[in-house]
Amino acid sequence: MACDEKKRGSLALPTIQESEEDLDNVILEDIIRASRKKKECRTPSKKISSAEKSKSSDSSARKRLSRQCAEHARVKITTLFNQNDRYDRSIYAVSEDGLTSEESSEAFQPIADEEIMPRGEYGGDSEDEEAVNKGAELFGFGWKTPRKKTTLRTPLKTPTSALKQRINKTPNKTPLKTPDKGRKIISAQTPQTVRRQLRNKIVKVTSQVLEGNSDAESNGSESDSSSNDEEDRNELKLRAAKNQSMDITVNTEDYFLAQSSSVHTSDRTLNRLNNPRLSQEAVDSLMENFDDCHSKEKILLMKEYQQQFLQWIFLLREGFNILVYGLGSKRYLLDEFRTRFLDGKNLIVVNGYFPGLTIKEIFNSITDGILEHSGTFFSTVEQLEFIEQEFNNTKIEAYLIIHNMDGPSLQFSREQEVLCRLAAAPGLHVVASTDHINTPLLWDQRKLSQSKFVYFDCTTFAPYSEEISYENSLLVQQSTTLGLASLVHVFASLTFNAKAIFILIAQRQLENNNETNYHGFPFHELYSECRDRMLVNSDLTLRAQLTEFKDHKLLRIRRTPDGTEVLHIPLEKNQLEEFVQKHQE
Amino acid sequence: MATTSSFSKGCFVFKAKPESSGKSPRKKTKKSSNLLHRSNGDLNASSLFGKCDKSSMEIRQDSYKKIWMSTKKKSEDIISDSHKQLLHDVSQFVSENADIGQSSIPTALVALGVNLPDHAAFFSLLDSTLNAHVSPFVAMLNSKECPSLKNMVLKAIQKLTSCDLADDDAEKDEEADEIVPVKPSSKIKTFANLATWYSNVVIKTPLIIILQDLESFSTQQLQDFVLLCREYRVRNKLPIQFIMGIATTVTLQQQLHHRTSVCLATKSFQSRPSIVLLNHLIEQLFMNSSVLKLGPRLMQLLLDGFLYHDLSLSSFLMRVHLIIMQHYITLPVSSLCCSMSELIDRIKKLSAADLDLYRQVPSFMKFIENNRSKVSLLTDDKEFRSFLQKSLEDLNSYSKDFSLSCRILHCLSDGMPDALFGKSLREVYINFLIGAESEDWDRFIQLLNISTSYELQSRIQAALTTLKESDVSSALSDFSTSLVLFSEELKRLEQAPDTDTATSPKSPNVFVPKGKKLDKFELKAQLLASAKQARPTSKFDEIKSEFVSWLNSHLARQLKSPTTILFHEVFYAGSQVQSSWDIVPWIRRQVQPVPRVAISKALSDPASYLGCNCCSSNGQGSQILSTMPDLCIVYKLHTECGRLINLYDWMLSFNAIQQKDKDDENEEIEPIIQARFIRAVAQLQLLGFIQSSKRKTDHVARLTWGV
Repeated sequence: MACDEKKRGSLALPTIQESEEDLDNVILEDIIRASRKKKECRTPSKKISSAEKSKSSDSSARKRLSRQCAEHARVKITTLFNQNDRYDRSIYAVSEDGLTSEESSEAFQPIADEEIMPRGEYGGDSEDEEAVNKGAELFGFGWKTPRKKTTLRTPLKTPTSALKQRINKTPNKTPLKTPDKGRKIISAQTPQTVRRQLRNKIVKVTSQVLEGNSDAESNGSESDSSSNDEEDRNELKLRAAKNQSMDITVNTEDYFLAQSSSVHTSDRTLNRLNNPRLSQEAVDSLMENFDDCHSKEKILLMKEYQQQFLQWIFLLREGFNILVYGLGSKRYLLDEFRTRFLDGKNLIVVNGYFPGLTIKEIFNSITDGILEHSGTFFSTVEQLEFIEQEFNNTKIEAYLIIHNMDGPSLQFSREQEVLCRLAAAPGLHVVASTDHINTPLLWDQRKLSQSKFVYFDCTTFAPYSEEISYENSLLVQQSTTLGLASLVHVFASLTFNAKAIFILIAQRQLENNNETNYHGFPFHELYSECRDRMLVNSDLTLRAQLTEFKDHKLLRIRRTPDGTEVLHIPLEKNQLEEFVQKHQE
Repeated sequence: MATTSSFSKGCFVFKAKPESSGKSPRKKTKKSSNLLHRSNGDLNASSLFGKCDKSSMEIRQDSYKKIWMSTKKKSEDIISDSHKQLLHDVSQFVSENADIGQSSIPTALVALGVNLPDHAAFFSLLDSTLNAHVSPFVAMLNSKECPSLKNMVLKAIQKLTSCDLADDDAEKDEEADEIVPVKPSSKIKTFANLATWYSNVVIKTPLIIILQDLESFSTQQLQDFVLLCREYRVRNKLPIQFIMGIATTVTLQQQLHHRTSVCLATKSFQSRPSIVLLNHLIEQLFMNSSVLKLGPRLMQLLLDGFLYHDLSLSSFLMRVHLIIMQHYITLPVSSLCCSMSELIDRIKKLSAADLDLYRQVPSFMKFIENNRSKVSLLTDDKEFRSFLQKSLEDLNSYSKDFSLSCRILHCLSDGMPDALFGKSLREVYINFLIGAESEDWDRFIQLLNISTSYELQSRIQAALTTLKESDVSSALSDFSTSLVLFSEELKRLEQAPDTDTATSPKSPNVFVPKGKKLDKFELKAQLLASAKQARPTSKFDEIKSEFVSWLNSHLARQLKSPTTILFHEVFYAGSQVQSSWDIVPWIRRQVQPVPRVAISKALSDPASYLGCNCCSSNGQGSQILSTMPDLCIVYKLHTECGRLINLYDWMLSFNAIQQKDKDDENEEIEPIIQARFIRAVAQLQLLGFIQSSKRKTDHVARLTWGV
């Protein structure tokens, strides 16, 4: 054993360390080794120690050689670790030049702005590093990596940061450091109690580490949460991409609580505001001047996602389709992808949020625009079959970009069925985005497996300005005034009888306005009343009249549970009153 | 490129430039592979050694393609193999009922299980089988293409007749003269037409109509269709037959009216449950000398996805595809993940930079940590190469032995109470891949210890047969010899009824001593004493203990999880590696995508995505900070409300948060705040959290509950 010690001593490097730290390392290492052995196998092998022993009897010349070797190795290891770290960043990384294409769209202008974004390269350029540091100070979360302190990512990671640094320092030395030397120091300098305390502490930490060893993800999240030593760009990536704690607890009781409790809200209305109804233009012009405080972070996020583009292309080529989800408009992202990687290819961009979109329109743009088919089709089914047949092999390829696959006109089972069938065609590559929280309910198992989506969490936080511009917003805006205006217009062009019928319905509605269970004017009552007043002569003429109202959205026809048809004017009470008063004269 | 937003249309087409479309396919692949290389170039440019090795990337890409193609082919074979019996049965049923003697329609009900995505594979197999062996007239219908009865009839007839046309084309070459002129199929639109068409067909084989998803057809439509078919079967002697695919266990009687169901002469067929197929697939794909295997975490993940989510093999295979792809692309050390025959060649080709990558593999680092004497491996490339080769070969043979040992253990533990390591071979394999608990092993040994001679004998025999079935590698050949030895010894024991057992029962019967009543305590004491008495060991006990100790020493060693072996990261996808090489989180997101959670999380804790300090809530989830994005503030405010939300009050609280810093407490809302609020509410509506409500003026309805 003495011989053994000597040999180990010879391997020692002239590393000058603070004794306590060294002590930590030594103890820690021993414990780790011991527990690892215990854990690993039922039949512990003695190979390691025997090998060392056999070697220990070698000559001194051999020792010198090994010392040199060790010195060399230490250098090598440190470089390896550094390299390892820089390697982390660049799996799908594209160079800066690749990222900022010349024709980047307007929305993306800030990304090209070099002042905000430090370069993505880590060549050790001092300027770059400065920029990075600056960025770190600016944004509060830097990705500065002090290269010297770079840590080895062994599976052993300690959750507590205080001890973590120590442990993280170890691997740099461990292969080369002498346990024996450390032990001598222990006996010389450290009081017994301190030693015991320290040992206990380390045992605790180590056992935690070993327990957590099996689950990388929890491990990863731990390392994320103690932020100090992994402050590189990767952190953002991990945070954004991994989403360690991706579970929300759903309490079913909450549903019944929410449904059973009666609604208590104040009766205050927007009329109390100085300007209760802002017009769309006013909102737009106001928002134009408003700048968001998180623009830098958002740009960083976007940049992060753009690094996935190569992966996307590869996946698309392998027959998968891409689906991006997450908060924030993904239009810019997909547009960026389109301009950068799909330029000059067969491409169809579908704005799912566009209210007038039909599946027929998508089909037509494929058959007319891409396939240049001149014939016509009897039905959409036939057209779909034709498209499927054409794209059945990869002879013709086309890329289909669908913004908001769950948009208002696509959020139906039939449309989704068709889209998934398109996605299943080998020649058609789909890149789609979804926003609505209930989108997953649209897809059954068959659709899911058909569409072969690969999911990407792209939470951009970008405003949905384009998407909501079509939406008839429930708030404040002009929707109701528009309704009244259109009513006045349509009403002016009606015949006398038709006007009278409409007024009749409106009056009845106003009379019953306070009744909560008033569903509408029953059709047969209206008919008898109209006949009494000699406004219509038959059931059919009344119906024709009502259909006209319905087409202009002046009227809604519903069926009550008991089967009677009732008529209802979709207008606010005060507006209807105003209207009736005006036209009764 | 042109803008893609417009107020008049929602579809924009960009046609590829004509010069590129001329030879598009090849050019495209080239282009994208260039892109791939570019990424690789960048990736290497950033390495310290600055050596650009495109070759490594190419090798990895090639191996990915090769491995995936072989996996795909293998799995397809396995699936078609597993359906063979069912296909045979069904086609036999069809050909048996080919005559039109009976008035009811012969119907094969095929129960396929709830894994809908897998049905397509079965039906295409069925189609080809029927075409080849029974009849060319097969019409495959699914509910999606038949929204109404009219469509259904048209589709069925079109498909029946078009099959014939295609068939004709094939036959034309052989017997061109015998072809009876057939009406163009487009004119055949009714069953009456079909009957006349059929009367002209030479070979009178049955007309088979396959309804892929019986449950999805509307009842009325189905009934009408069945009655129609039956009518023509009886009157016009059309030999129509049905094959119906069933996903659930719904009986036909429930689906159809009695009047209709009597028209069908049904026979049920059952496919094998998909879990059996999965077990088979895992055994074949990952236990039998495949190159790439799944690490414990990924295996668990895939199984969870399969067992708890879809039970679908096709989704399983898609995930395997993704894993293979990610393994080769993400992991730089995957270039050596190849068959052993290629290994030496590839190791030779490795550059110094590549070797350094292999030195970073965690299992190797651990090894070096434990073996200081091998530290020269870090510097000496030549030594490292040979070491690498040896370790990888060892690993390969180890994992072969490992799966074989799993088989043996499965045989030995089969039918034991509690199913210690799992009932199926797949479970045993995964259990040991993860690293089985020693308690289970101890219990297994215990159970073996109390088993009878006959039991033990049969277990050993079963293990021997498995060993014989699989080609025994060198490391395990002594396994079989020792097993044979044990079995022979046991046999000998059986044949010669042991003599020592005859002498042993002499021991005094402590329980009923004659003439003396024992009280409770005395009895207890006696029982204890008798328990302490060493039981005489029989010959059988000796063999058994020998066997057990053999298991403990030999088999247990082979059952150590391969993920503890050096360089397992190369062959076991999803092993624990550096965080950026780790593909498990990515795959997890593919198996369990969480769009809704991602949105909720981003809204309630924006700092987790933005990574800013100003918005981090420090564990207090409900805290609202004025620095958060508007949408998040509005969302958080709305979670405090009930079913209805007053817009005015909502806006006031939004204003209050924005004006927190300012002292003036006027309730005046600035237009910019109002505009921001309007914008945020509209976005919330787009996301589906709220909806306009008519129940109260200026109120919106909340669509979610809880947080």
